[in-house]
Amino acid sequence: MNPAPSPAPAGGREGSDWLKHAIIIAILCIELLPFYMMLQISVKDNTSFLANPWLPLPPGEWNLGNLVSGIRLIGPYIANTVFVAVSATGASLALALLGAYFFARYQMPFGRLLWAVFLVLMLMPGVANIVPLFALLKGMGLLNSLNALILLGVAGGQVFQVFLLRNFIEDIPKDLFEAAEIDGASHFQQLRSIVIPMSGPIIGTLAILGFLGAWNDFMMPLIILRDRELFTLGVGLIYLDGEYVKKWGEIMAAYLIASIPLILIFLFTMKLFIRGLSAGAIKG
Amino acid sequence: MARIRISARKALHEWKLYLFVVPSLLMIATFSYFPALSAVYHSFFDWGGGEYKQFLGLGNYRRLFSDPVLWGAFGTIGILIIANIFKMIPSIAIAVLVHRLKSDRWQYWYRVLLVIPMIVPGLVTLFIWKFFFDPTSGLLNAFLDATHLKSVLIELDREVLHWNVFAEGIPIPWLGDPKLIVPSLILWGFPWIGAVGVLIYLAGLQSIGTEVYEAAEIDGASSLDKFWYVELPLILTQVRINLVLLVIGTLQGFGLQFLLLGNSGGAGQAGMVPGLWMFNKAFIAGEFGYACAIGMLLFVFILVLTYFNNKYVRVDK
Amino acid sequence: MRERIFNGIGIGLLVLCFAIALFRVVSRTRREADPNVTTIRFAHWQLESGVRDAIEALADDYEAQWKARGRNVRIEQMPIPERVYPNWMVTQLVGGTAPEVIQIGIGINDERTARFFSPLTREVGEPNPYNDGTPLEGLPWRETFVDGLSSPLSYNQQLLDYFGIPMSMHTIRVFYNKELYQEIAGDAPPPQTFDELLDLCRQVREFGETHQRVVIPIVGSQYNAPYLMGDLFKSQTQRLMLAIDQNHLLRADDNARELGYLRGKWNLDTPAVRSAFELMHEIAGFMQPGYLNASREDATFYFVQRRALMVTTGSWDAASFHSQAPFEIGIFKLPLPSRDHPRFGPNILGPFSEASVGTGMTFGLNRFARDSDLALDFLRYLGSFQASQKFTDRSGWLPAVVGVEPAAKAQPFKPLTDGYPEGFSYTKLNSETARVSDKHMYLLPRPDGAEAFAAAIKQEYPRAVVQDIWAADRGRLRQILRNDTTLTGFDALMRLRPTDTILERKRNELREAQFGVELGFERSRWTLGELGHPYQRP
Repeated sequence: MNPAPSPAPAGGREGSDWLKHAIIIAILCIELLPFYMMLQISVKDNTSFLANPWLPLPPGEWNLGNLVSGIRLIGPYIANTVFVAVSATGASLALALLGAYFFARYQMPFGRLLWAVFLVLMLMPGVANIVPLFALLKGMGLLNSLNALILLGVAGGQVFQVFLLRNFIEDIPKDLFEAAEIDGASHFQQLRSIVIPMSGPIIGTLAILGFLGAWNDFMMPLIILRDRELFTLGVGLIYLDGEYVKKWGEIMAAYLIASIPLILIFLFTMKLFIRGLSAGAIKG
Repeated sequence: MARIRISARKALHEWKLYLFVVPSLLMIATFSYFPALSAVYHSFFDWGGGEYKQFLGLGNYRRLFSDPVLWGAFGTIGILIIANIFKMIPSIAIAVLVHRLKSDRWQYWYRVLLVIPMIVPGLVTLFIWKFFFDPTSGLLNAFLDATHLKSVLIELDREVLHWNVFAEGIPIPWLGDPKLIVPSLILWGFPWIGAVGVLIYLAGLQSIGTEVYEAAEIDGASSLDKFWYVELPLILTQVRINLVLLVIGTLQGFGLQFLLLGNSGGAGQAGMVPGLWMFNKAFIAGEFGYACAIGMLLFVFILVLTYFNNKYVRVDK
Repeated sequence: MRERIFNGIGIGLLVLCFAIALFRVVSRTRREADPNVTTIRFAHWQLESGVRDAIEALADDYEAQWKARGRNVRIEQMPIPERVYPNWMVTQLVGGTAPEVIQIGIGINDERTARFFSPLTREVGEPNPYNDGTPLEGLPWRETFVDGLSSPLSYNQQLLDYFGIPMSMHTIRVFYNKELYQEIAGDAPPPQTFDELLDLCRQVREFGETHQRVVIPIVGSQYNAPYLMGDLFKSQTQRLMLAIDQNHLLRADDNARELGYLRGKWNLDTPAVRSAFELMHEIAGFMQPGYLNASREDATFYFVQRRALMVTTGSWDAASFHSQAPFEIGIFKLPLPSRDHPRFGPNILGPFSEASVGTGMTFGLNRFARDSDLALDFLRYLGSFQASQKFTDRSGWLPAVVGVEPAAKAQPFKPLTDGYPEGFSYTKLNSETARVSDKHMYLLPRPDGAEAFAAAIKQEYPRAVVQDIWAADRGRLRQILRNDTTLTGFDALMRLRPTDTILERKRNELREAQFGVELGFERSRWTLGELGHPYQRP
């Protein structure tokens, strides 16, 4: 099973392309408008912004102090969010791999029941859980802590990740496993030496999606966190938006800085991500 | 590849394997199942979030059915769901367009460009759009003025809509007027392309072989026919999955409304959606029990929708 | 191969960031657990310019005072945006993670006050040690405040206890752009009378036309329009108010006003009311079109961007304006028509007195605070002469403590206590009448605005008044039922503790209050019945 999409030319490609290009480019321009606005406003201060809201400023007049203020504004929040996102994604994938291995390789007694337990969760809307989750965290003494967010992140990712990983692992040829078993490998070693290398793309994609989810999350952090030092990016941005006096330049600079980690991630893992998504799509 | 069946007896030998799934089960039991059951339990109580609760029987549910705000919210969410279904179209269209390009290099570059909006955190996009909607310094109003589309809107208002919201010289209050809130929510996110969705559709389209296209050509199919009969059926699975996720997501979603409009759905509560009402009842009015009841109602709705979806819209394995 | 390196760098960066983040979290946890430092947190929503800095200064001073006494205290200020405040309050209070000192007002109700906040009745009856060495030494704490702690946020009339300590006071003024004023009106002094105000507005209009610029005379918003329009209306109903004021309270409370309407003592055609609408129409004509849809920030924006000459708002916005505006700002009190004004004068008694302006920025004490002694001490500090002086100097806001001289920036906002009682308004907050009025307010700026507005609301106004009375009665009924339960509880407790004087005082106060509410309820019901509007469920 080849997880990468074939680069062979597909059909239906005769006729001139320029119209398609034009449409695609037009739509892409509008789609990228927020990104453009963020970039060009981030180096303006309020007066230059009001004088000229649309067009970018020539580099000589850039107000780089905005970026410094931006870092000051949300630097700590980014650090917290990185902590939560990486921990949650890492732990979540680890647990999900174990679980998916269980479901994918063997049909144990109660296996079907346990699988149903997972599947049912796919249907359950998370919205009704917010209230009792709050009470639960209070009971566990986890309110106002980043650990709560990590735990929630791990639990939240399980269903989707186990589902996708199980499908993937099922497709790994049995012979590899049998060969390893003959060599006396334990389940754990089989997992490590066979499953993980072969599922590289899908794990990578799931990791990126998980990280993205934690990066964008704001509802639970808003409810759970009290101390400013613990705030994640979502809450920090909401508080930033609540100020009465808005210095748009600084705010846009802060937004830009908030995007930088994601930019870096996508820069380094672009191919992997696209490949993984396509593979996952074909499987799903 | 089939899984290896293990009989009950051998399972006792391999009992260690169960340990593989225990941590995962523990997490979802604690943080997904327990809260759900707790929500069901507490929906029958008048609960302030602490230890004290008072049993109400069906009191909360009876209140649900006579709550005008809630049913108004469902009305709003109905409109939004239908709008969101239409908003799926641009993603499919773009996927098809990109797929039909001759050059592979361009295809790759467009894919990259499509992913770029994902770099911007969702909240940031939302706040930038909020900035677009601003009546005085926002881009939307400036754009409408510059292109004279505003005059079109004024005419439309006068002749057809009679809303009294578009008028000469007055900046259009997108998020400030009850009648404009739902249109703003629908307009948000223009041109409505979801990067993940497009990539998935593209991947699906790539599995179409050249022979199919050649056969279609021989039969004299037009571009539109090719789409309708060749491409759409093959990505239908993904479309269906997306549709289900979209409907469920919209039904329970309230983050967008909360951030754009505030706690009570904005002017005249026009942007109130059931999820936001539940949040409001729990975390502003402090009526946790009633909020659980609202959550239960949402759950039932989603369950019903999923049932119908599975029955009439089969998803092939 | 290149991809490998790429991926490697990416993962390396990620690991680095994670390490930094982990380090921060761990060091923070270690710092939190330090037993030598006591932390008092306090939360508020006053994000206006200057306030946070003033509070930082106060916090530093307080910490220094304790350091001199040999104890390590840390004050943590928690500013929270207004929009998030209500749900923040609930999650913190219910979750048990609330700060020690919390600003009350937004998101507060009687149940929450009773459940989560400590009554301060005993403490406010005693002198404040932080006032030693000042002219206020030895006075009960309560009497050191300008309102005697009688404002609704400080003294809760349902719970009959003191819960809040205020830090400031606010008045409403007109702010204007001095530079722009110079351009338009030259060296003439700011308008002292109403006619001068109207003349100024007309001058602004002409200026805009001759110079091809958009200049709004007075910029309105959904936030400041109620203040402005309300004051204008109330000026015309000053004499009428005396006629309606059956209980000789020198103000027309809502009930008297509404019942007076139903009894025909006044209606929308009464000359004074028509005159009031005319007055509102005059000013509305000078606000920007669509002002009802403009937000608070929009109005600020217009003003700061030199697109408006004047804006009406409270003293709380002064510092924000100063920090945003590149021009000098002048301030004056809205000049209402005087008694000898030919057109509007006959209905007027005189300028409004600001003697009854209440206090704001009120803080309560969290009942479940860990270090409640220290928290109370901090509250005492905040409500003392020295802190109030520092606060007004740093922030430019008015002080709430008696005898403190407002800072120079705050002088224009000092309440002008000479004057007459206000008239009554024709709506009240969040009512049916307010909804009806808002719906048709856009008609006011039109040439025949007053007529059109009156005609438009005439349809729905009578019914709206009745619904308002029903709503108020429902509220009273609920309160009577609640008080009945509490009274029964008090009686039971009194049997257990017959010598508890505090309990006895509370019960007697509640009984009196209950009589008052029952009286109001019965009178309302009876009058409504007499007038042909017997109570109906909505």
